[in-house]
Amino acid sequence: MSDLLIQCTALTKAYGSKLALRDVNLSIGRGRIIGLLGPNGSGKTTLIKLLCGLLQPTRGTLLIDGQGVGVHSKSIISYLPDKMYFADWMKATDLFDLFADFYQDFDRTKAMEMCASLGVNPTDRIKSMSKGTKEKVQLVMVMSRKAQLYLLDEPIAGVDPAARDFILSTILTNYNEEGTVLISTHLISDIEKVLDEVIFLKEGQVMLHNSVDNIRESEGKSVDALFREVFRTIPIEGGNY
Amino acid sequence: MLGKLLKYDFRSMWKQFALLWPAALALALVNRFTLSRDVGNDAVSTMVTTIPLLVFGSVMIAMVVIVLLYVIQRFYKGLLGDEGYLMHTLPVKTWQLIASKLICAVVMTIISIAVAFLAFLILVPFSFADLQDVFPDLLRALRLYGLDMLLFCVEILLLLMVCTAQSYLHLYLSMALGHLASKHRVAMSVLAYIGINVVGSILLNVLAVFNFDLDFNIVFDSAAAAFHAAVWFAIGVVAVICAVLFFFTNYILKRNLNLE
Repeated sequence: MSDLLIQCTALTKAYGSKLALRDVNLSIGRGRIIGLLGPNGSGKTTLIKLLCGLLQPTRGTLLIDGQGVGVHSKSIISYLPDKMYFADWMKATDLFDLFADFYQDFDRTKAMEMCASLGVNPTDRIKSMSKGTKEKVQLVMVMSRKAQLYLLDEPIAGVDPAARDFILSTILTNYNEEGTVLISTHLISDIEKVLDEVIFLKEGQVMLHNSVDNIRESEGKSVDALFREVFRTIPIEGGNY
Repeated sequence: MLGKLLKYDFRSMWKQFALLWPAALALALVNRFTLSRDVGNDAVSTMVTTIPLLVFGSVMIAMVVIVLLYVIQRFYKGLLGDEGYLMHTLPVKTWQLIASKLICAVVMTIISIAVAFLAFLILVPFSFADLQDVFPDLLRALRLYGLDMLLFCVEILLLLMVCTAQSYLHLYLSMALGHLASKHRVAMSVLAYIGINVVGSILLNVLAVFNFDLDFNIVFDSAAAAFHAAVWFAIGVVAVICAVLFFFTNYILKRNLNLE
C-alpha cells in the first residue's frame, strides 16, 4: 500500500487539438474528503474519467495506490458517473449480484439497508423507476463499497436543495473512513462544510490545492467566496454587462 | 473474471431469447398438424394451412433479425454507450469484456440455428419411419467415402463458430472505429464496416497474386484426408482473421475509449 493514493505528474489530456487537462500535478492522500471545484468545462469530469480508467492520458503519468490505472486501481475505486449505467433488463438486486461478484469490498447487507432507508424497492425493474430513484440506486451501489477512493462526479447537480443534504448525509454516513472521497461539483456552498481539501480547476489547470482550514486562515474567507473571486467572469474587452 | 462476465452476458441473453426459441418450436408444431392433414381446396382449409405457415416464416425471419440486432446492440450499448460506464470500470481487462460479448453472441447464434433446424424437422410432416430409412443410407454412403462422421460434425461446428465469430468481430471493429469519431458515430461505423470489407478484399487480391496452388488431393493419399485437411485449413484462416479483428478492437477500446 502506497502512502499517496493519487499521484499525477504532468498529466495532460487532449481531445483532438483541444486540451482538456494541461500538465496537472497532484498528490492526494488517504482519509480525506476533497472537493474538485471548477466551472463547467474546466476538466473535472476528464480528470475523474482518467482516474477511473475511462480515458487514457495523452501525456504524463498517473499512479493510484502506487500503480498505474488497471485492474488493481479499478478494484479499489468506487465511481459514481454523471450518467445512468443500467442495462434495461436489470433489477437493483441484479446489480447487487454483479457488484458482489466483481468487488470484494461490496457489502450487500448495507446495500439492502440503504435501499430501505432511501425508500427504494430493490426488486423493481430499473427501467420502471423514476430518474430520482435510479440516481438513488446508483448512489447505493457506490456507497455500499468499502473502497479506497470514491469518485463522485456531480452527485448533487441534478437534485433539489432538500435532496442535496440527503445525498450528502448518505455519502458522509456511509463512506469508508480510511478511504478518500473526491467530489466534483460547482455547487460549493452546499458541500463546503464537509470538505477537508479543495482543488480548483480552471481551463484544465490546477489553480489551487489546499486544505479548507488553510484557506479560511490565510485568505480569511470561505471557499465559496474564494471560488467566486478566482472564477469571476471577466467580460471580454472590458465591456460592462 | 471472464467467467463472471459471461454469467451476466448469458443472463441478459436469456431474458431476450427465453420466449423466442420456444415460440419458434411451438409454431413449428402447430404447422406440423395443419400441414399434414389432407385438406380440401375450400377457402377455410387454405386459411388453416397458410396462416400458421406465414406466422412461422415471420418468426424465422424475426429470429435472424433479432439475433443480429441483439449482437450489435449488446456491444454498442453495453461497451460504447452509457452501460460502458459500468463495464469499463469493473476490475477486468478490456479483452475479457470483448471476449465475453463475443462468446455469448456465438453461442446464442449456434443455439438459434439449432432451434431453426429443429423447428424445420418438426414442421416438415415426414414420418419417423421415413427417417429411419434415409439416415442409415446416408451414413453408409458417407462412410463408404471414408469420412469420419463424428470428426466431420466437429469440424463443421467449429467452422460455423469461427465464421460467426469473424462476422461479429467485423461488426465490433466497425463500431469501435466509428466510436473514434466525435460525431455521427453510427454513420461512421457503417462506413468503417464497408472500409474493412474493402481492405479485406484488397488483401485477398494481393494474396491471390502469389497464386497458391492449394490442392490438398496431392498432399494426402485419400480423398477423405484431403477433405479434413481443407476444412481445418479454412478454420485456421478464419481464426487468424478473427485474431486480427479482435486485436484491433481491443486496441481501440483500451487506448482510445471516449464514452459520451
